Amino acid sequence: MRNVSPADVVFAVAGILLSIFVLIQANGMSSTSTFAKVPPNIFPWMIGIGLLVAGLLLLIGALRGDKAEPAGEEDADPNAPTNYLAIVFVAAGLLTQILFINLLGFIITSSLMFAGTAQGFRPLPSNQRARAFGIDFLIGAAVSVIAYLGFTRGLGIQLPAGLLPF
Amino acid sequence: MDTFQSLMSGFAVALTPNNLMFGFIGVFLGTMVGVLPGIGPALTVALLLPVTFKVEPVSAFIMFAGIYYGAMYGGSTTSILLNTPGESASIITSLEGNKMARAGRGAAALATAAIGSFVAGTIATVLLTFFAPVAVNLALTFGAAEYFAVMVLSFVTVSAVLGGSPLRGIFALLIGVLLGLVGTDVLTGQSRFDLGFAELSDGIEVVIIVVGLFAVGETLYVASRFKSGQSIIKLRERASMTKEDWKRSWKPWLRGTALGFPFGVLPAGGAEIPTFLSYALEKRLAKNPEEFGHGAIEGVAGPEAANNASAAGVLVPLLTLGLPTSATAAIMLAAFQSYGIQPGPLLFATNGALVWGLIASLYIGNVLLLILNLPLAGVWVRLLEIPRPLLYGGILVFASIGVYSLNNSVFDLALLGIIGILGYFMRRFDIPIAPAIVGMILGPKAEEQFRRAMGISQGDATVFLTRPISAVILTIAVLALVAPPLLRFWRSRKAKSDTILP
Repeated sequence: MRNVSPADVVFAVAGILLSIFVLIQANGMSSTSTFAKVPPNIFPWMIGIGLLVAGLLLLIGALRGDKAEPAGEEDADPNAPTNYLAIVFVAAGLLTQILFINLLGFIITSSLMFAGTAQGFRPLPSNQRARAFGIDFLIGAAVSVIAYLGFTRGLGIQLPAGLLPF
Repeated sequence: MDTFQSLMSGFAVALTPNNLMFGFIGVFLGTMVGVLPGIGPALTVALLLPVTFKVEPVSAFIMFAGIYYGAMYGGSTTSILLNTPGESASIITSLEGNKMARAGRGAAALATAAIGSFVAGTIATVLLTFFAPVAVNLALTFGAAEYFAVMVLSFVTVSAVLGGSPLRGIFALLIGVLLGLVGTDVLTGQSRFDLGFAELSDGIEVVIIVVGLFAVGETLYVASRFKSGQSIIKLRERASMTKEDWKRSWKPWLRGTALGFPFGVLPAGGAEIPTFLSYALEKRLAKNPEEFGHGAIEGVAGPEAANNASAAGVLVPLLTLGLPTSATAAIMLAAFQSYGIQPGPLLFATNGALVWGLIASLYIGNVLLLILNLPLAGVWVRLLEIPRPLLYGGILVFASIGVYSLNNSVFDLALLGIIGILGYFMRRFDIPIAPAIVGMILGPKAEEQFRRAMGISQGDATVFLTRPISAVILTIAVLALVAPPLLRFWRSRKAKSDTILP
């Protein structure tokens, strides 16, 4: 008996749930179409059914012991265990950018995001973290200021200034 | 002779100082992102889309084509010196290339890759020059049913033939088409999958999906399994080859070109398959096959040539049919659309200067890339030493600029984050990204052609099978989907019966 990977089962179930959502949406759409012979919900129906079949096949595979092999990227080790702390660092950086870009301005939130993301790639003990974050914040600030001036002054793109006067 | 004249007028366009500059920026950026981990040509073109609106279309496409070609050159540098290929088409190169580099023959591996790319790229561009007008004549006979059939074929090859698992490829394709359908249906005004958000009623911007899946998804995924302190093989000299290397390389270059170009032209999707085929062929033809696996130069020369030849081939269906067969080509199609230009057979008549300027720029780009990559190999290698915390931090800063500047909208940034999470899970669960990109951009077009064909036939779905060209193409698509698993099944049954009957 092969081991069933719970993560793969959850992923397949998520795919099936998505397909059900698509089918409900397709069902709710108007299917009358006098102008075009094909009503606007035919493709949604096809996608929903396709996703449902694919999700079920993935689920059957997962229950029989199939395990997805994580992608092999340049800097990633597919066989390493997932480092959740690193994901939290990157996600927190992104969230800062999304929530506060208009309030604090692009330069401040981008510097914070830069420093947060960088922590995701620094396996450090917690007592060295504050110092590393500070240094990364300063580098991020340099990158953000140059990018801000380059894009707003050079290319005429608008980015929120926020608290900073320029 | 007509083609030749068109090409000459194309050179007149491509050689203006302005376009030459955009070509140079393109190949420079392309080589850079090809070498750098975490960022590739598809992402780069997507990030540049909003910036290029102020530029003439021909200049923008010369730059995009330069990025596309340049990334092919740069990718081989990474796979030879780092042993972890950035693009799937470079996997094979790393097999022999990295072994050569470890044995102190890195300069020769880089040289045969660069010169092979140049030879293949140039020959394939010549083939493209003379084949594209022929393809245009064929494409002119296409109606809506045929276009729909070719798109289905493209869907099947991109998702099911490439990559490890057809099931996972098709799953990715469907996710992509779903993302592409979000928004208001143009024909009926029906809103689809917008969940009541007014921001979604015009659909999700292509840039957000591409940047989310590639930049944010990649950063999240790499952080979760980061491999620090990889060994980069030092190389400070220029790339060069000995006479013996030349003798062993030139035939693989030509054979690789012959394999790569047709795979790019047919909507047979991407550059992976011809590189595998070329590697197998060179191994079979080699005088000393036992050298393969220990750094045989033929195993770098052939696949690298195949890789670049197919890159040129991909432009044939893109320009003549508006049919993308790789992620980068799909984004170039989106770029055409945002300029209000429809690629297809008529493009050659209505936008001759654009098409031929673009094709001529490919010849120039290959020369520039050879110059950039041979003497300067040592410079590009230094890019591999950029500290990863800063590299990925920078990628996210530029990703958010690219997305925010689309509409000055925080909603878009939030969407970027959500699609980034999707990109993370796709990598984690082995769902390929390229079919999703192609599905997102080609899906709505396939729907449009489907409806047009059905409208013309008064709702008769057999139109796809009664028109001969459409029927043939759809048959090929079904075969491409069904044949490989059937063959595997028969082979395994045969293997079983062989063991039963000794």
